[in-house]
Amino acid sequence: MGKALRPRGWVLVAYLLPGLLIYSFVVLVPILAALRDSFYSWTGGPKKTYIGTGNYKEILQDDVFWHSFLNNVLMTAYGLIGQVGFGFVFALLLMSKMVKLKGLHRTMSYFPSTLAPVIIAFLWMLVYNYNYGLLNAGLTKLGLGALVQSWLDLTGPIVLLASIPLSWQNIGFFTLLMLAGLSTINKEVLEVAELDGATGVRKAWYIIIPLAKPTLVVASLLCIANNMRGFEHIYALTGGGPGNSSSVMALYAYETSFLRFRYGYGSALAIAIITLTMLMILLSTLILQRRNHSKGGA
Amino acid sequence: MNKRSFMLGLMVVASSVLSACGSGENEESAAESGNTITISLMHRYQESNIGKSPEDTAVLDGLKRFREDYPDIEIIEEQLQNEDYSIKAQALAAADDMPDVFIVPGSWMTNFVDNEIVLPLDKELDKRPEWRDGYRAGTLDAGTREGQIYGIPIAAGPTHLIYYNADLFASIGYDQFPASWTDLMDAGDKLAEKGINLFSYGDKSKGYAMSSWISALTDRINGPEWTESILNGDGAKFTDEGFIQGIGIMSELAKAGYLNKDLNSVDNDTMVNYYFEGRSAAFVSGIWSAMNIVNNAPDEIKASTRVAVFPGVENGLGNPLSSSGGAGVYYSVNSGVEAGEKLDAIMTMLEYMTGSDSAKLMAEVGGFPAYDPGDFDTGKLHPVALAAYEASAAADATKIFDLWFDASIVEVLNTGIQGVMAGSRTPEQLAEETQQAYETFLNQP
Repeated sequence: MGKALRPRGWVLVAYLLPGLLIYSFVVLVPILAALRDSFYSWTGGPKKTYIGTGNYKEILQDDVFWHSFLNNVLMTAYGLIGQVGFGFVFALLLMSKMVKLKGLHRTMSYFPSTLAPVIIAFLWMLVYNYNYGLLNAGLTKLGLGALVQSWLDLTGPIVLLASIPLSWQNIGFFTLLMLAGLSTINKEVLEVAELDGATGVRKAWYIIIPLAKPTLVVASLLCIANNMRGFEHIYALTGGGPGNSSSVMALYAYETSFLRFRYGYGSALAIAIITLTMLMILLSTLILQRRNHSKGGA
Repeated sequence: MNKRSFMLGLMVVASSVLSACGSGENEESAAESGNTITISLMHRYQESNIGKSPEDTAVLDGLKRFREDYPDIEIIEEQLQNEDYSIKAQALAAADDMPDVFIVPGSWMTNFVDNEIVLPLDKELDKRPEWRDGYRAGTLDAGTREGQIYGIPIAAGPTHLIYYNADLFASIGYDQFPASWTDLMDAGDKLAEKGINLFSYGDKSKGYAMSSWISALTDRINGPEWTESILNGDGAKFTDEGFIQGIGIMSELAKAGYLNKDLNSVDNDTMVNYYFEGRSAAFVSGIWSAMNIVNNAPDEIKASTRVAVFPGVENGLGNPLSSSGGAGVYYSVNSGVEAGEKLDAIMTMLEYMTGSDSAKLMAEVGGFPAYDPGDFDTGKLHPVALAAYEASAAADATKIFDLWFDASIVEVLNTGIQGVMAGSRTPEQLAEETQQAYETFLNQP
């Protein structure tokens, strides 16, 4: 931008100010308030007792919280496969010449992303329902009646079962993201590859994936952040149940604050969630980028 | 000049954002400074439930009569759904921004009293002894802390009643509800052979197990002294044998296959529907389900439905006929309301909404009011509703845990029981966890 066209410093600041103000009120101030409250024993009224790091010490020994954290990690892993992985495969399919009616596929796969999480949960409750559910009806039709289950009552694979609707919803978003990323790959490179005999899986593996790496990294980081703060789907689908088996960190913090009236401890949990999520993202950024570098160097 | 107008605009934006939160309060204080009295009221009774739910019908009728008799008093009323109410009320309480009159479930009461959110109402009630003394024995208890009354009860009645299909039980050789646990398990077995569940059960919303099963079962085994000892911190433990046994009985029913398989993932409505569809021979619920049966059950189910309570437990210390019960939710007044005209108006409004006339109406449409309605016209009541009413009046009500124990303990139990019913946790583990939450609560500064 030319110097004459560049706005003055204060104008820039002024333009940013409204957004910054709103952001401060809805994000920064609550986080700072939670940080302050996390040092108190507080049951929700005017009385607060300062207990220093007591809440944090309790978190370290809180099995339910760490179980919820593990569930978040599991959900993230499922999400990376189900959302980013399948999104990438879908994008490749949509790029290939075999698939017809691309516009329709694109619209259909994006459609679930437009639904509210509560509606998604309700739809999938119908799928999983023991007596009237689509899944059990399908199994019975296929002669697999022995596999019929009350799915949402299973404590073992419940996180996987809850992650499927999440993937179902987000796959369209990631497909679009990937399509955008893939479209930046130089067509000539692909043509040359094809001339050299690289088709199908080979082309994807040796040409497209390395070139689409930046998009994949961004998508993975988005997916990690999304799943670490997951709340609505689990809340509406299982309520964290049966028992605590599908509980996630945000749900646990919510329950602690608003159902158990332990606002101080709930605030400490919220701070712990932020810290752990940041750590996860930092770690994965380091890992993803280092791999990038080592590949680049080789 | 540009700069100035910009800053001015910014200030307008900022101030409108900031004032959005506080505008309600401003309106109120403005109204108070005038002559009319304004009462803000937030509750979970809804216009759309009139005729369906006895509580909603009676309370809102009382409010309507009050508005007609006192047109000068302005009432800013907010009707919320059950769950929405809980969330909003808790958020407002944490922000110290409660309306003048609101509903407090028994389990919140200790917290609200400790945090001085609610106003003691003794002095006001003493001015109206006739009203105060009309409440059924024990219904004021869960709203009372250290001798001071903080809440006016609305409905009472058992949270544990068994609605059962007499025809189905007759078909397996029981002419009444099984009177012992051995008989009950035998009936469950025979019903299972026919592909019918003994009980349908729906605990998705977490809380059903506690209010309709655990409180009554534990009392059968441990007797009321145990509950008192827990409440007073006198040495009773959740790891005591009796509590574990009660939870054990529940998990055995699930393990034996006498309950529906999807017991943790369906809600109360589905549970009742399973009974209506003949998938189960009985379900355990509170008095509120009586009108559901009367209004919604298929005719043949309605005709064969009877009411019972759990059988006694061998060597149990409690009364085998008791049912968990008492008043569940209370109307409380904001501690910020000062004695005077406004408080007077509030008390009159509460008398309209929960007192004698309202109680009579509630009983006539199939509810069980906390205020003793005296004699009322039972002619219009369906036999199922009447049986539930009579069972309620006869039952020796014991304390419902979810109203008495602190919310932090209730929540652990509500969550943990799902795990036990799903078989991923043992009753002993749940007892251990509950005890831990109990100790944390006792040690809270």
